[in-house]
Amino acid sequence: MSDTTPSALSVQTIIGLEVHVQLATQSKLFCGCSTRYGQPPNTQTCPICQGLPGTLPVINQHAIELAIDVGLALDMELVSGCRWDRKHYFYPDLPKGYQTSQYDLPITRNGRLEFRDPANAATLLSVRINRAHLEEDAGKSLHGEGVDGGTWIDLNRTGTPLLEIVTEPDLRSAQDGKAFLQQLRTILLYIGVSDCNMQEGSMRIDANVNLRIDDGAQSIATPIVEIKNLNSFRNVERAIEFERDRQWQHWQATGEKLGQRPKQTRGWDADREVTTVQREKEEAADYRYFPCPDLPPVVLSAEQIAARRAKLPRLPQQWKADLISVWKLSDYDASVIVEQGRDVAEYFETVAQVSQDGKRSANWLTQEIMRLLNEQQRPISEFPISAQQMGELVAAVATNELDHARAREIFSLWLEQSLTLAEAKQRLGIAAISSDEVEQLVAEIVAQHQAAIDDYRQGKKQALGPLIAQAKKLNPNVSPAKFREALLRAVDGQ
Amino acid sequence: MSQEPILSATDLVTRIREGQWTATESTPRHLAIIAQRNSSLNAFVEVWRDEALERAAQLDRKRASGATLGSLFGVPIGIKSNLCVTGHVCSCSSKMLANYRPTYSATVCQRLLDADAILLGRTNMDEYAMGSGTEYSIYGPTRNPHQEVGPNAVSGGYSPGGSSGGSAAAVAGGMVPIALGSDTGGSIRQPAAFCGVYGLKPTYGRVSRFGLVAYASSLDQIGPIATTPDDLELLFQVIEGPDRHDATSLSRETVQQVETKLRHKSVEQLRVGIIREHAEQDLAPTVRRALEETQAYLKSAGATLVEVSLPRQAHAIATYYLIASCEAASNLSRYDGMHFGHRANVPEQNATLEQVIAASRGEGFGAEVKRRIMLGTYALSHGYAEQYYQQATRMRQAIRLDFATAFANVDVLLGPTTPGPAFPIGAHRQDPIAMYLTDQFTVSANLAGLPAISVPIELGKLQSNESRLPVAVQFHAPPCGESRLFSVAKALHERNQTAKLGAVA
Repeated sequence: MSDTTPSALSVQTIIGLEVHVQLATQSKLFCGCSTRYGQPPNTQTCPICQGLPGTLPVINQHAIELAIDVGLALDMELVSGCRWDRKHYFYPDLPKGYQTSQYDLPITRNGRLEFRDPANAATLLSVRINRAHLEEDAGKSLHGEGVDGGTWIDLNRTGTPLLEIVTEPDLRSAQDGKAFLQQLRTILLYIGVSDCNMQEGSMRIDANVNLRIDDGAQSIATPIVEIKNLNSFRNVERAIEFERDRQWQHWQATGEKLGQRPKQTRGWDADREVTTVQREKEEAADYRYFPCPDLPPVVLSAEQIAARRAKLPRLPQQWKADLISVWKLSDYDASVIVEQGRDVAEYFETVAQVSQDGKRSANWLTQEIMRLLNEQQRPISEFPISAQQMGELVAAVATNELDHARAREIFSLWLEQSLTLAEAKQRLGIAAISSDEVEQLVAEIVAQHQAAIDDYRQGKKQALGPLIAQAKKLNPNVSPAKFREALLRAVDGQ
Repeated sequence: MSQEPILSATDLVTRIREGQWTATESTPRHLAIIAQRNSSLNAFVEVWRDEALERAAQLDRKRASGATLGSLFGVPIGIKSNLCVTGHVCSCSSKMLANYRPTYSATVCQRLLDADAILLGRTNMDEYAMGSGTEYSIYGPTRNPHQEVGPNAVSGGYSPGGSSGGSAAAVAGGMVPIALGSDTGGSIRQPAAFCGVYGLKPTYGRVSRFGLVAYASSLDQIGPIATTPDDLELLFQVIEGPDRHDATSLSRETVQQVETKLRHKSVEQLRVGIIREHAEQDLAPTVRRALEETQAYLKSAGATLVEVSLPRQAHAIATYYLIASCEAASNLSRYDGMHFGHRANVPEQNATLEQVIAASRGEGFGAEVKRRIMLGTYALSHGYAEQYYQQATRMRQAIRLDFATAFANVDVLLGPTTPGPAFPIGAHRQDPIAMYLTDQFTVSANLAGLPAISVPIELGKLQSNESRLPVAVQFHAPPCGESRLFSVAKALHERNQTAKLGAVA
């Protein structure tokens, strides 16, 4: 875009996000049906979530607790007496004809979230969170999937609790948007309020995008476009970039400003990589919000909030600070580990506690374990070596009981077989070696490689390297460091 | 059929419990009365005959086995057609739900079954409980068992009131001793008044609404209709109480706390407030007399009578119709022909989704229901909600406050239930506002969430040109003050018995 921008104009992309997060409750927001994903259609429904006449909603307290947790984590105001409102529209996957949501009194509001500037890792960017409110999900329309090619409805998802987190329009680039979402996701995963599984729709994003064009004399805003239902961070990034360029071209062609056209809703076509018009807001339904008479306002007591605060898991920022202060990790290493999620951070903490060596633990984790997990696209929960075992291995290296090469052999063996450290050592023939044995090995090597010794004595320090490798071949249990020490004594010593 | 008078529920339970009678003997008797009278009254729209007889036999076996017997043991009861009973059609007298069979039972119906009652069938009502005459029904109008005599008689008969007109007519017609109705703006009390029986609209939240097809959720309450205050109380005791399926139901603790504050009073200790704004209205002569005779009786019984003002009563009807219509428009959005209920026969290839929904609703709903959906939709629309819905909500608060102020000085409030006795069937067909005005004294209790009772009043000597149709008065009590209403009603019931014998002037 910049190449088409006349130098006199400055163009800013203004982005606000609405993030729908499915809360990790066992049951739905207003009934006892299970929220499990991927079950056969319409097997997780009851008269209440089917919207049958005469049924009434009863609030799931766990959803309230998880919303409080998010409020606490994002530094938000918690609203006692928050209300439920009905949002009306007709659609076959909305069996009641309205969605129960929160309109003017959401459960939490006015928060903020900081994240690392993707353009400059040393700076933090801050986004204001306008609100986070609870609402029920709709069902799923399966278009063209029926036997007759018609539309079928699956109500399993109907009534699943969602938290909609709405930011102020504080983001200025697609990359910032993505970085914000990653940090938000990390926090939500740490406090365990959602699995944030984007493939399964547990985290869906709407992006509001427009441009602010400044020619030095005046600032012009283009009409706001809402891109609905983005289901991956990549799609968020690509859709915002597309929309930024599209709006720029549209503005150049038409000069259309904010207010001259109603807010437009567009969808992201991931195959063609374009946004397409879904509807202009003026043709949209008037939702006729009004307080749901079936649900009393939600009273949040100070005790309840204090109890949630006491139980709130450590936030990623706190984890990172702890990794730096307790385990003396670099800012970089601590960030890498924390950003992998709570399971990885917990894994690290156990390894470090058992080994009492933070730096080595971090190296093993980030270099060996994360590499394997990335290759295999698996979570750490499926990693075959337990954190306890890993800690023992790192401890053995830290105390020079094992050298790094032998430790890697054990690591590789553990990937295949479940063995204790002692068993693994035995299997690989790893045994402690006495200083007499080392001396004997030195004598043997010196005798066999006189030429190399002579080279060394004439100043070719590197000539000893192959000798150490040779010794390791003769006896794999010899520590290269100890052998080198003894060898130097033998050749320099006298 | 036995010529023995129909027993009250209380007497019936006693007889059956004591073994003087069996459910198998009493149930067919009620079925026979229904068979005989229903063709003219049209109170029941469906009678569950086989099931009722089967259950009667089951109950007799239960009694023989020595098991503990429920407080409505063997009592036949009529259920308003907007209450769900598993497997039975619950139509709300609407084409929309004409064939709809719920897959679960309302909490109140389950409680009746748990109390060993016999559900005899479902009763007629105004479509979705929207109406005051039990005329807006796919089953046709219900007829009031009472009739004028002499020159005042009309050939088409009188309305039983509504919307619970089927239940009130069934009780007044001796088909069942008790029945359930629902009251959103007077739908129990007004038909009870028109049919000469007792009707209670309980405190909002005392009776679970789970399984009651919603009309206006913040106003709807299920309540009892009976021929005596004892029966009314008996049925109320069975259906009331907290329900985890209804988030607006009051907890046992809340009810007890409030009840403790409202300590029991006998009639001579009562301070009775006469609602000036109701008494001042243009009342039919017999209603005026009912009010005066009630006052005279209470005074003679030692009660203190004071005039009380509820200044915002003039706005009650407008407030009620706005709030009720807004909630109705929302509650009735679910009837889109997609998942249940009537679906228009539109060829799908040629129709949009909107057309299918519009046609289904257009065909499924009757005129009065459509009128209220349109009114409610308009009043909640963007740009109008503040002017109508919000304004009505504020007025509702003010009306609530008026009652709270009044109850600082009095124990109960007295006024007429309706401005006049029953009207001839079809009298208000061309004038919905005139129909709405029959509820002008009853809607306030719903707006304020208060308990209110309609008590039939036997008048003293009547002139030959005076109406013979039943008349009633209404008492309001503070929240959870149902027991006060029962004790006043019991005293007046005794007075009525005396009046029947001609002993009251």
